[in-house]
Amino acid sequence: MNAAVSLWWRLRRAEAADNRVPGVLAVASFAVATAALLVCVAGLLAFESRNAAPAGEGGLSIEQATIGDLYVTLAWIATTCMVIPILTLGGVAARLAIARRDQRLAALRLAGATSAQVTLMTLAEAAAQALLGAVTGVVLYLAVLPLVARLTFQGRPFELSELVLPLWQTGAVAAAVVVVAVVSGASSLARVAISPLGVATRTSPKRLSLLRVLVAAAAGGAWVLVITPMKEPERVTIVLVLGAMILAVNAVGPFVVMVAGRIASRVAPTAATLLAARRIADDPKSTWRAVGALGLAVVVVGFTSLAQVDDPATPLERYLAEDLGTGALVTLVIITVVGATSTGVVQAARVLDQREQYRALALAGTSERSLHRARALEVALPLAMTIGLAAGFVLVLMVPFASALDSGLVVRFVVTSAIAGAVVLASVVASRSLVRTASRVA
Amino acid sequence: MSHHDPAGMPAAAPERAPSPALAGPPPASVPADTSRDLVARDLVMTYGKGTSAGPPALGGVDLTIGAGESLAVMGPSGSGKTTLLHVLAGILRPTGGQVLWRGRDIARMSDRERTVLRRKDFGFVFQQGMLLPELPAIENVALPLMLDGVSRSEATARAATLFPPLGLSGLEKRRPGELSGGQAQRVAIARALVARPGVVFADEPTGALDQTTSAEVMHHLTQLAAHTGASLVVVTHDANVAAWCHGVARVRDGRIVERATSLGVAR
Repeated sequence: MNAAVSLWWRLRRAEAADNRVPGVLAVASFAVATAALLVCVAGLLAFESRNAAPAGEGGLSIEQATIGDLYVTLAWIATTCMVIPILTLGGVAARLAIARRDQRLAALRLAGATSAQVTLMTLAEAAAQALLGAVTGVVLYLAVLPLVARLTFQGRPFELSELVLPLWQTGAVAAAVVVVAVVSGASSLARVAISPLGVATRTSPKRLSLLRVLVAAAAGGAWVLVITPMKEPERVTIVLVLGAMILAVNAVGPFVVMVAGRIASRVAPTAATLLAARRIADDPKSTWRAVGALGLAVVVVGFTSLAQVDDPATPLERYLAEDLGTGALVTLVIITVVGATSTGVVQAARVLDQREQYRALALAGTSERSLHRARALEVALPLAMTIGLAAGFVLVLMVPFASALDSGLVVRFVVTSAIAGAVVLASVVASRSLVRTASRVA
Repeated sequence: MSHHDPAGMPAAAPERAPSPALAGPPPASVPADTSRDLVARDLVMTYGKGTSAGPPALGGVDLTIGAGESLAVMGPSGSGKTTLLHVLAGILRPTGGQVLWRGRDIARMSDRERTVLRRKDFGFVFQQGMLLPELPAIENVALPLMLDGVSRSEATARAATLFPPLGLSGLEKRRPGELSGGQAQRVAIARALVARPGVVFADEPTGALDQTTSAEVMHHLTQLAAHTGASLVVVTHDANVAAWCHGVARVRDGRIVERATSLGVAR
């Protein structure tokens, strides 16, 4: 064991300079995930504490307090929408943290380390990067708090004291990120066989099961059958069923992406489109991780736009309409940042995984521009499809209210969705330097 | 081994006389067409600069590879054979000397020009095939044509003509992960030759294969290169592989110490 640890440490130090970019990206992703999670939890607890405080004594007005419970329920819904993509980002970062370890793992096996020892050391490294990212994330969270505190809900801005989490809760969130990293890392490692001659990872892609569609249909049915008949459903019930719905959408999303990728690969006219479509069809889960949450956020923003169609009759209704809009926008911003980070990291991991193929393509005369175009298309195609479908769905829902609809509202919705998509697409730029390095021929 | 006539390929090259570079200049009555020769003149390559510069990897190499000629470059590890291949292919810019291809000095071309040159005029076969794992075999072969602006249908049709002569019929839709090492290397050969390059560079193309598969791959590589009229430069440690080529250049300490006609046992 000592020899293996010593060898691991020496290999790690030797590799440090070479492996800086993926290491930095992994730590940055853990930081974004931690900060986003802390902001979500802080916001949720701020609504809880406002609702719990006695009305009229520096807390909510008596009128506001009548719908305080509704705000807490909405905060829980928004948090549920955001937590899954945030945890997904943690998993993606963990995969990047253990990526590109094949040679080191093989060397360790040759040096006599057992498979269990190698696994332990790799997970320790993922945990170390996650911990570093979590600490950075706490700093990032504290840095953005003044911005969050400027948001106005229920007729007044947040106090900083409302948003600062106690130390134990901050620690618990950071610890949760590290646990996610270790669990995701272990699940990734379980799929590869570490032999002394290397890591065997390349297998033919499996078709995703149609069962995913059935699961999603069942969850949709549950939403209709469980929530609709309830006049005043319990908050826990709403959150649980909504969580199940989001998981169901996450199950069916990759299947839809796979089918779209297969169709696109059949009709792709250019090399860049063909490469992008094949990659989408080959790894629809990664593709969905990047775009799925954004599609959901677009639907949330769209629904709240719809909610603002009716003219608010009372000040309370006006506050509620405005707060719904603000809340949806905050949800969209957080999911966009998380989605963009996720996309950037997935792309970086893919370049690292295929660096030899990138070099071979460059040697054979493929320009760097073509390589960049293929990667941009790989993100742009599913992104356009997901956002287009989500926005189209919302716009169709708005049709019955067309006469009462403020055209400015529709434009704002479309522009907001387009900006969110553009931000995620721009994240591909983060791994351009890796492509340049991988495709360097001399 | 059977001899194939690749469908859709140019008419088979006639049986060649020994290359001018190997057997001296052709008779005076036959004008030599040197426009498609790859010529290296006094090539020098040194890695690093100033005081950190190492010993020259190439120390004044002169070499001519005639059109349609195949040449094996052999030598011990670190002798400079891979550096020579990279300089000839425009991957590395030499410290000194010239690499002439179709009347132009590759060493003086810009990075962009050399990229276009590698795409249009040169083909590459690597030790591991380097096929893209997400593309089926047929699309891996069609890719260089599509990257050069050829329509997908035409590129796929042209790629398909190379599968039967390489013994790959029926494997068009398989992914690289579903092919044996020999099959993957034959797909790589098809990819290298589909754009009808003037020269194919192969770096240890059989390094990961057993002897039988290695012979099979070299048979296909030399046959298909001959049919397309492409010159072939093969870097190898293996004398059995070199035997498939017209000539052998032995490299030691960055210099060609011997240039000989291959015994041609395998051919």
